[in-house]
Amino acid sequence: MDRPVGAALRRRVSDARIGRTLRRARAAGPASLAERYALPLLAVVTALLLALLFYYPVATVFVDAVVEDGRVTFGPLAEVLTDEFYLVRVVGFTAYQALLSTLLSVLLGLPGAWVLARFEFRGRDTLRSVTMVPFVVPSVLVAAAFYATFGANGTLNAALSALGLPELDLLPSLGAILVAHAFYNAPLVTRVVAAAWESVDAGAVETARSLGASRRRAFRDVVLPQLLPAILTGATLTFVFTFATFAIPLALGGSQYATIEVFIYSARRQLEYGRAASLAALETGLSLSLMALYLRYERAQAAERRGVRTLARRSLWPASWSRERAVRRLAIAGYAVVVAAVFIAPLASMLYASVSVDGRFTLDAYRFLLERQATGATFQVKPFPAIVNSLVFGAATLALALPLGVAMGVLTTRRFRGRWLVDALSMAPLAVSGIVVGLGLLRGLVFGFEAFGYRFTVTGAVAIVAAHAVGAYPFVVRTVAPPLDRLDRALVESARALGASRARTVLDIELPLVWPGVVAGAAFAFAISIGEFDATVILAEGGGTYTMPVAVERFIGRRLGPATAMGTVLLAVTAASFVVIERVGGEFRG
Amino acid sequence: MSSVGEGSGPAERSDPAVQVENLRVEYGSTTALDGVDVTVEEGQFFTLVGPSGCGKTTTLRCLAGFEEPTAGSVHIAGESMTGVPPESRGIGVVFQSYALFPHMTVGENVAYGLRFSGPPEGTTKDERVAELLELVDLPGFADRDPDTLSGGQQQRVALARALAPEPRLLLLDEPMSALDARLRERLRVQVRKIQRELGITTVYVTHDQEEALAVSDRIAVVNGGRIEQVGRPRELYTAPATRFVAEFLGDNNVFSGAVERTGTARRETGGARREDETARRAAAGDDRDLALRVDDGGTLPLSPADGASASVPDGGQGVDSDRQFDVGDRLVVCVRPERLSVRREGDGEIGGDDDSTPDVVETHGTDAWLPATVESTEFLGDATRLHCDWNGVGVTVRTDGQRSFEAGEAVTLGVDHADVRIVERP
Repeated sequence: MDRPVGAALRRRVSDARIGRTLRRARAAGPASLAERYALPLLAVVTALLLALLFYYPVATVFVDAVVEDGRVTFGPLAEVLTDEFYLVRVVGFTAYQALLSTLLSVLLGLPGAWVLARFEFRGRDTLRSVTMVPFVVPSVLVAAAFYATFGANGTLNAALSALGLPELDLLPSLGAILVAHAFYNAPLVTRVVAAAWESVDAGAVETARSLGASRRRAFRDVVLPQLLPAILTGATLTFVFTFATFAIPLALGGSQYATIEVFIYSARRQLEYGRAASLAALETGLSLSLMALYLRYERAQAAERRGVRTLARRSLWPASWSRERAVRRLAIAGYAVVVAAVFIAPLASMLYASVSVDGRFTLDAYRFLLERQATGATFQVKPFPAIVNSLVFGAATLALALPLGVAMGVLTTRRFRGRWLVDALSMAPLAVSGIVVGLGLLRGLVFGFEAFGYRFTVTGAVAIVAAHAVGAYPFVVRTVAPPLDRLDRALVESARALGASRARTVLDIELPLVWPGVVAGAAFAFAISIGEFDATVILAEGGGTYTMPVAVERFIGRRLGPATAMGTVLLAVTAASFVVIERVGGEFRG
Repeated sequence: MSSVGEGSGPAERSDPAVQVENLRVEYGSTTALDGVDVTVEEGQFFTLVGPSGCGKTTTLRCLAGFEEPTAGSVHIAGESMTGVPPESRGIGVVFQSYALFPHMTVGENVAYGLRFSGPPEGTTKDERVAELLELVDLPGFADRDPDTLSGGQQQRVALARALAPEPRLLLLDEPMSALDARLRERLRVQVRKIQRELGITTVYVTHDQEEALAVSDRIAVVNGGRIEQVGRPRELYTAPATRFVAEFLGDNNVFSGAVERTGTARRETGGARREDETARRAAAGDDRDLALRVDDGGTLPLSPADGASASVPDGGQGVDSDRQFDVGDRLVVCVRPERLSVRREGDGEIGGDDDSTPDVVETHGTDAWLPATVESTEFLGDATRLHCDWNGVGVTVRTDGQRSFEAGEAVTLGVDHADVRIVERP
């Protein structure tokens, strides 16, 4: 070490100490004061935005359910609750199809978890990431894909008639709804259960074996108890999601298989807001209580395991074959066929249908998308404005949801009393369906409200962006919060000790370090806006604010070409988003 | 309360560098700090040592402003720190995890604090960074990424970063705990050297009592949210004021028992015993009037003068040193393993083994020989540690590494009453 350096430093220290205090005192001007209160301010603005865009609108739905002509009568709600048709036919059927969908999703998802967790093969990581796709695939896209596959003119019937077999009439049907739901939720089950399986400590299994348990017994006693909570998680989420399903039964089910959400939608179209609100309140109440129950259970389960040695994965193509191994591989091959039929065939059919008419290659459907003029009566949807609208709304959603989500992410990783409440309130939009949010925004903001002597109204377009932002920002929170939470607290504190204000630390240290999460969150937000159907269709009714998913739904059953072509465009956009999420910041806590 | 004038404080009476008064921190119903008082003089290297969860880190975090105390006050250079955010306190902090900003180079890390304070007069940012990197022996590392450095190097960058804006107070929170033992020893010497060169007041938190003894000007032993004792390292080691300090710092044998055969109290300084042998033995004869009957065991010699030199500075909760005790009083005493001499059956008074290595220094007298059996031995290289059984009571003895003993061997342990420290009295 160099002597003179030390001596020079020492000389300076005493002078500097005085200078430092002065310098800091000077720095404590209005600018640093603003920095000091930047985060609390952010919290207040975020809370106000959420209240305006989500809590107030949803509250109006509940009010509509119990208030008639300005008096609390519980009339509309009582009407629904005492009507056997609504209680049994609507609510009952909705729960029934949700239960069946859950069973099917778990059945289809579990083998996937087994394969992902216990076998090593090329593309395993990719396959694992692909299980995230349902979060970004628009529901109408799935509906269009199923139409292209199982519809009267779909690829299945084309194949059957080519083989000389009789054609099948599969749509509308309950089965199609269930399979479409499984398309969404089986990957979720796979994802959740595979994660649990991979966190099973190999040491625990080996200990059980060394103590005398057979392989089967060790699985039952050690592995299965650790998988059950994950299976339950996957099943609960699936049930909640499919209970509030809308686009799929609307497109694939027709009037026989209408769920609560479909009835809400038709009530809204008939301008029966009281009935729509009652159904919405009922559904939201049921969904939220189920979600709350689940969260309570999850909190009790929550124990993050770290540093466990995961169970060794076997090769899909074993070095030597035994009877048992061959049976397992056959089972996996059979599962792969089912997976291909459920997941790949519909998407492939959609692509095919978009470029062919009666087996002939054509780009007519895509050309139609770019036509700016209305080609028919006004009830027909103009495709080009829909594309423009989607992109504009997507950009606007991004501009709103990204700051909102990042702010929420920063706030929810702070340690303070009542944080769980902030967590719950900020995540609530995930548990409230798009239909209900759309209905709330329509009643609360588009129809307007009076405050301070003024009447506030917003246009349908603004309300659509609000709905998209409300639906998208929890995903931003979920991509930003985990890396923020994992950040060494000492990093932030070091920056503070070196002179950075709290707000400065967010900009200098935290955001740069969680940047991949922010980018992934942005991709999520964009994808969700582009694919959002439920709230949009409620708000776009009768206006010029159709988006791509709304257009797809309108085309389904009427014009397969445009429906599938637009579905393909949607698929391309969501696939691009997925690639961004996957490449840049793929650690979504879903 | 102020500490006695050691350290390199300025001549005129000025505010201490750090003054912590009656600091309390509560989290809900748990109390992390239960009234802590600490005074650190300008330029001192002050260490907070204690077991994990004792409150030492909480104290440091209150100094830094990362933690809001429930009650009490923190003053830095006479200024109250209440409501002052960390960035305005003029502190430098080094954490156990290094906490280097991974998205910045080494140089950018060191320069980060200069964004807010600017470089010192007469230098540029780059000069300052180079200067600091040279100080920590990492010249030319400015363009490296932190993750290409070893743990020890990262920690030195963290130190350079903390020092760059010329803080008035350096806070080190277990900075070496993540490093291996050998590196830890080397780095602590380097840190201490830099601290001396800059003359910067430093508060150091560690759970490693050996490290605390090795580097500090003063040490506060923290336990259960309170300070047990404050003093210079040697003072704490030789004159622990409480049983906790006696057991926490270094190895110790702790015995509890009751006083037997009380004689008249006789004041004697440690120096008096270093006179000629005869006088010492005469003195020792008188001392045998007092003994401690160890519970379920034999007796230990006691000196009434015990504790006369054990000052309890800075308001530690020590025992009242000048109090006498009576027959039947219950006491807790301790004897350092290295203060016991060990002799084999048949050896002379100054014990030794085959190569006749003396096991006791000449000035160390012996007032009692305790019959014991060796239960197990640990060879430590420079020393041999014996775990002995003395009438059913376990005693640890540290003796020369050259001497070897067998388990089961009968030995006698020599003890000087002056080495029997009373750490708890009625």
